[in-house]
Amino acid sequence: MSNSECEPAANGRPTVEYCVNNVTSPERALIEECDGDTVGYPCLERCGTCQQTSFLVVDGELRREESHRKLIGQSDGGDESE
Amino acid sequence: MNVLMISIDSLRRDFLGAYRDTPRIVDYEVSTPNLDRFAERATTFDNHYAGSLFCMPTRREWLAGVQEFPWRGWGPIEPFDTTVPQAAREAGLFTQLVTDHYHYFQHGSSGYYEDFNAFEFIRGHEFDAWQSTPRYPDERMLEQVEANEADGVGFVDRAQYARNVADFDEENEEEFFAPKVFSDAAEFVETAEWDDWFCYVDSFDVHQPFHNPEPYASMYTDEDPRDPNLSVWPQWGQIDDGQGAMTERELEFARAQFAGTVTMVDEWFGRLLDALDEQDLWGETAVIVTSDHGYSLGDHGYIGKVFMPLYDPLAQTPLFVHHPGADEAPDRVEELTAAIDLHPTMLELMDATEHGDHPHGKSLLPLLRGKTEEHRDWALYGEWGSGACVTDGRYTYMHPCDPKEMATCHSARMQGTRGIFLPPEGQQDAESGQYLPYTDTPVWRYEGASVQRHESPLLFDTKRDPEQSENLIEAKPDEAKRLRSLLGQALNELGAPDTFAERLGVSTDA
Repeated sequence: MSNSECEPAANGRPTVEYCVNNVTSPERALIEECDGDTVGYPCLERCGTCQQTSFLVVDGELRREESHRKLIGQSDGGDESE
Repeated sequence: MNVLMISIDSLRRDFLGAYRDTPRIVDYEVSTPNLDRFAERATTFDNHYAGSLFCMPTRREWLAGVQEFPWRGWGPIEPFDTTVPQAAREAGLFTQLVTDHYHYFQHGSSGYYEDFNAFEFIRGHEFDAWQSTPRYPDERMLEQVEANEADGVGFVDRAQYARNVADFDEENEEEFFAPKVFSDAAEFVETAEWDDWFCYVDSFDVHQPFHNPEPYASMYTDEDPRDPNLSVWPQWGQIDDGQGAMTERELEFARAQFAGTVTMVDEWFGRLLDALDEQDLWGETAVIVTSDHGYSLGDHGYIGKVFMPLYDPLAQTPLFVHHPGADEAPDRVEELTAAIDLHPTMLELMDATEHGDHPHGKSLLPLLRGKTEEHRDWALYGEWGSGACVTDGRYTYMHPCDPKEMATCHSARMQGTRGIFLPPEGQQDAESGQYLPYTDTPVWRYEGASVQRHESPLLFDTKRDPEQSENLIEAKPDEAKRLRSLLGQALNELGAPDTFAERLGVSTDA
């Protein structure tokens, strides 16, 4: 099931879904502030990924990185460049 | 007296002929002749609600009688709980569990099956860590279950299901789960040598994935049910956005496969009814048929169960009870009833109340005997770490939480409050004390993250608006105030912890 088959979000903003088990409180606050429609789930049924690394589901696509800062386009040092 | 308790997981009541001619979300009738014939024999409960959601919390309500979600989430039977099979054994009944519900054997769970004299566990459903081969399952099945990686072996990995069913013949329904569960249950009924028994049949179907053998896979769709582009296991979420996004074609296919699973369960449930007929057991066996919750199939724009408000397709559940000792049992009960009531009901049926009663539920037997038309003023339902909902039988009120406020978990076991299927975590900031109003046993108390299912309060008049399409919070302020007070009353009567009401901003003053 590809999200590309569906209509894009009406407001053009990305939909960012995250699992609350995969984030610390500061990371959760950071994600909630990002430029997108964010949704926190009690579980996204991606526990293997959740155990291993930071992840988000952006517009239906699974994205993994070593940190949530990198996932939302920020370096750990606060630099906007990757 | 024997007691046969049957749970059919995720069974939406609107898919049953006893409740509606056609489900709310499709324009075709779903065949359930055996559940319908059981409903003819039993009392049908028209206003029955779940309590603690989802899956295992409901089972702790049924088996231990604890309405747990104000205190705790998904977790084990606690050391201070007395389960129905434990009480039944003490009352002299033989106890049997038949299930394919692998959650009983996962991280975060224990104590649910150990008290049965005997249990039969059918392996392989959903994420059950069963088969080790093939490492790379069939590509078509991997596509249809939306597996991330072909050789995925992580906790909760969809490739595991493809591995588990790799040898299943999709033309032979007897190889699938519900047929095995109900066949084993029928065999128990046919061969039991015990004078009195309690048998708990817990069918994981119609829980996801909705992977069906023929004829059920093609029963409600003209699509090729083995088309790799059509999912039998949609991702949870919003159907128009994010990981849950679906085309209309995909949604109709998922609905058709859910319907097919319902009919498959019904067919094999019928074999169990046949066994009761053949053994002439109806005069000495009470039979309860229910479900833990429903499943959103596009209702209000959602698929699944974990994110959306707890609308009635999730929270209002089917319940049928056959009580052989109730000569004047009504055909239907319109009174409000709740999942937690099944615990004292089962104990009373088995004459085992003194061995395991718990204050949270209220036996349904007076209703079944036709001796009263009053039962309860409220039913409370919700999921730990989120908001809380209450109904008076007509209005449903859903109170949100602030996701920035941490929730409080109470348990004798330390575990992850989230990531429940992962190895447990120590809770370094935990406190201990006698925090529970229903036991002197001290427990741990620790925090976990909250999850918001909706931002604002929701109020629906389910008598006038059974689809729950119009939020009446602004239009009916007096009813909103009354239901909010009823929520506080319910929490007060339950003895819910202050931290729970405070987190929600609900007053529990009587």
